[in-house]
Amino acid sequence: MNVTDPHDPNGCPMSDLDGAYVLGALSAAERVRYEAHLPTCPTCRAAVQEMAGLPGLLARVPVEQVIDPPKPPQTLWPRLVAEAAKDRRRSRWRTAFTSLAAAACVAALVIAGWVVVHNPPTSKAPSVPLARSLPFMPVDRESGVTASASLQQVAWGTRIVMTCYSDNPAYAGEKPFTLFVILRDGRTLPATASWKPIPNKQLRIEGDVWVQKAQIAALEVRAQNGQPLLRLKL
Amino acid sequence: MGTQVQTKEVAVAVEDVDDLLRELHRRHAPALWGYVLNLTNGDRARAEDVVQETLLRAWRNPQVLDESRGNPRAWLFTVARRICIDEWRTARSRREFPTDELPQVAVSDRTDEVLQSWLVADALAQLSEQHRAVIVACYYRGRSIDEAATELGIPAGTVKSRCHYALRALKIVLDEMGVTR
Repeated sequence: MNVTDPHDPNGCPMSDLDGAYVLGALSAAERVRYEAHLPTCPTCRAAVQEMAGLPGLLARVPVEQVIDPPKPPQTLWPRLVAEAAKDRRRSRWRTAFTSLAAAACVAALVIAGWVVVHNPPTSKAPSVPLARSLPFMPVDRESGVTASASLQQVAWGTRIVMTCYSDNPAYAGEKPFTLFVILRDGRTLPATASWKPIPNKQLRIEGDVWVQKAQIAALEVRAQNGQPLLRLKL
Repeated sequence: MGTQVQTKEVAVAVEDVDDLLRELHRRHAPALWGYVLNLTNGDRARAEDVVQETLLRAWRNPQVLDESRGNPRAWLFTVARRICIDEWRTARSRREFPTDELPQVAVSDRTDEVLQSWLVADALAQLSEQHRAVIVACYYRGRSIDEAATELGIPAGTVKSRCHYALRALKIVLDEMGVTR
C-alpha cells in the first residue's frame, strides 16, 4: 500500500512507521530495520522526536477509562435545568429592582445635576455618597479620568458600584469605557458595566460579576481600544 | 403595547439560554464527570454537585466558551478543580484538624496529576473512533501491527498509517489543551 508514500512529500518509504514505532507495535524485525533507518532520515527522526512524549502521557490514563468512560448520572440534566430556572427568576427580580432604582437615580440626578454642572467635582461624588469607596489610580499617565468604586458581596457574585469622572474631551462621544475584573488567579473577566464618558459629568456606574469579592485582585477601567486607563488594586 | 414586546424578548432569551445549557451538558458533562469523579475519589454525590456548579458557572459566563479564546475544556477543568479544593478546605476547617500538617500541597499536587491524566483521557475521547481504536489496540492492549490488523479487521498497512495519523491528531489536541509543549 505504501510503495509511494502518502505521508511524506520527500517520499520516504518508511515515513508511516513513526506512530507504530512510538507505540511499540512494530515487530522485532521491523523495529531493527526502522532504527537502522532513523539516523539516515531527518524526516523520520523529527517525526519520532515530536511524538516521543506521547506514550508517557498515555500511560497516565487507565485503559478502562479509554475503553469505557464513566457516564454522567441521569439526574444531572434535570438538576441543571432547575438551577438555571432559579437563576433566571433571581435575575428577573434583579432587573425589576434595578429599573426602580434607576428611575430613582434619574430623579436624584436631575436635582444633583445643577450642583454638578455648576461646581464640577474635584474627585469625590457629592451626589452619590458611597461606603468604603476606593480610588482608582492612573495606569501609566494622567488620562483626565478619575474614578472610585466600592464592592459588595451579593448572592450571585460581587456588585461593583463606582463613580467615574472625565474631563478629557478625547474620550467624549461614542467611545465606551468597560470595567474589567482581574482575579487573584490571574484571569480577567469583564463586569457587566460599560458606559460612554460625558465630559465634566460625574457618572454613577453599577456592574456585576459572578466571582466572589475575595477572588478579586484588581479592577480596571479600559478604553474602547482595550487600553487600561485606571486601576484599583484591592 | 410595551408589555407585549417585553414578554416576547424574555421568551426568546429563555430559549437561547436553554440551548446554551443543553449544549454545555451535551459537550462537556461526560468529560467533566470522569475528571471530577476522580477528584472526589469516586464519590458520585459530591462529583455531581461539582459538575453541576461548574456547568452553571460556564452558563452564567458564556464568554468562556468562545473557542477563539482557546479550548473551553481547560477553563471548565480548572473551575471544577477549584471548587473541589475549596470544598476540601472548608471541610477540613470544619473538622478542625491540627494546624501543623501540610495537606494543601499534597492536595494541589494530586489534583494536578489527576488534571493531566484527565486532559489526556479527554483528548483521546475527542479522536475519531478509528484513531482511538488503533491506540487502544497497539498501546493499551500491547498488540503488534499484525494482531491489531486481525482484531480490527483491516490490513496491516492501514494499522500503520492509522497509528501515524492518530498520534498526530492526539498531539494537536493535546497542544491545544496546553498539555504538551
